[in-house]
Amino acid sequence: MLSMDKNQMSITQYNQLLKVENDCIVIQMQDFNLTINGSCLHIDALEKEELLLEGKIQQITFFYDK
Amino acid sequence: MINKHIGLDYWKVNMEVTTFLNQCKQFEIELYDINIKHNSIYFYTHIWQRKKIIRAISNAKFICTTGMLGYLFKDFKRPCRLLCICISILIWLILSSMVFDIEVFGEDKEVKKSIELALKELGYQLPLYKNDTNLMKQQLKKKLDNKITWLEIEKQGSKYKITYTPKEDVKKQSLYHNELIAKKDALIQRFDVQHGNKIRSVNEFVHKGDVLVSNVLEDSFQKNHELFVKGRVFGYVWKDITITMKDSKLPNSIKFYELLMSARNEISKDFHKDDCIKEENILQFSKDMGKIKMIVHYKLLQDITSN
Repeated sequence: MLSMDKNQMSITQYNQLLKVENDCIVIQMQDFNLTINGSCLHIDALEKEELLLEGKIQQITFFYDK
Repeated sequence: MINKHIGLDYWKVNMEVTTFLNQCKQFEIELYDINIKHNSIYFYTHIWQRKKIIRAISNAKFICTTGMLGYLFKDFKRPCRLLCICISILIWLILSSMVFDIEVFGEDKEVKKSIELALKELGYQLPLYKNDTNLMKQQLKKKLDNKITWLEIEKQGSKYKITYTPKEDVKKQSLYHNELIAKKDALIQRFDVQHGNKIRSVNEFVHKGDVLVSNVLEDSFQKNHELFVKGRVFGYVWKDITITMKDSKLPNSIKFYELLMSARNEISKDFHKDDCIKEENILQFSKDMGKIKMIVHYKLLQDITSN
């Protein structure tokens, strides 16, 4: 599940992080891969089932496996 | 967001970000406020996750613990501070179980003194260690059984409050054979006599030294019997009082009342129980040679048989 508020995004039920960079974060979810593009992106908090990222989010892409 | 002021561990690790975050997810480590500075990752975690972090991330470096918990941990590492805390706790425990004052409340001052003396004799000297108040109460009651009806001991902080009620004995009536003799010239107003033989009557003028109530009674065979005498005789007494004072700048009315009050004070100096002023007449109020003089004539109702 995703929830957004201003420059923060909360993601729950994720599997793992595939890429963490300043302008791109790729997260493996259960059924798809989530790519977040922007600037000054960073992980603010990481809990067991929840992830909180912060930064200027410009694009969110969902990649589904065929 | 967890409050850093309460306490969080601050760590540093040199690792690739993605690998580090995935490892934390795998080991269920919660991270907060993650920052990347000069190729190092800085983060905050709960203090109970220390062992997990050490197991999961071998090259993680502990920096410090923030907040109140951090301050507490620093204190525990310093022996002097730990010793001071222990000593203060000990002093507090000792002083809080001591008694520094015993207050006694009650009517009779003599009984109060007896209680204070009894406490000393029983070994309750200040400062003393807090005792069982029931035992103290029993001991005092046993020792002062003939002086106290009721006793209660209450703990109020580092003070004992002892409240008591003294024993009241029925006063024995003592009767004597002494006659009632007039101590001054008076006109008898009434007799307040329980025992004795009245030999004068109401409205009779008597002089100082006259017998008013006799201790002898003659029977029909002209035989004398000795009687007990008890009571009082009230009579009207007349007196003049002269009061003077220095003249002042106060108004006349104030000077007048000041003198009048002084006169009343003077006249009632030798009053007994139930004596009173019946009439008051100002005979003179004058000024002479820098002095003010007042003469007052009083009619008093007094007990003429008591000293």
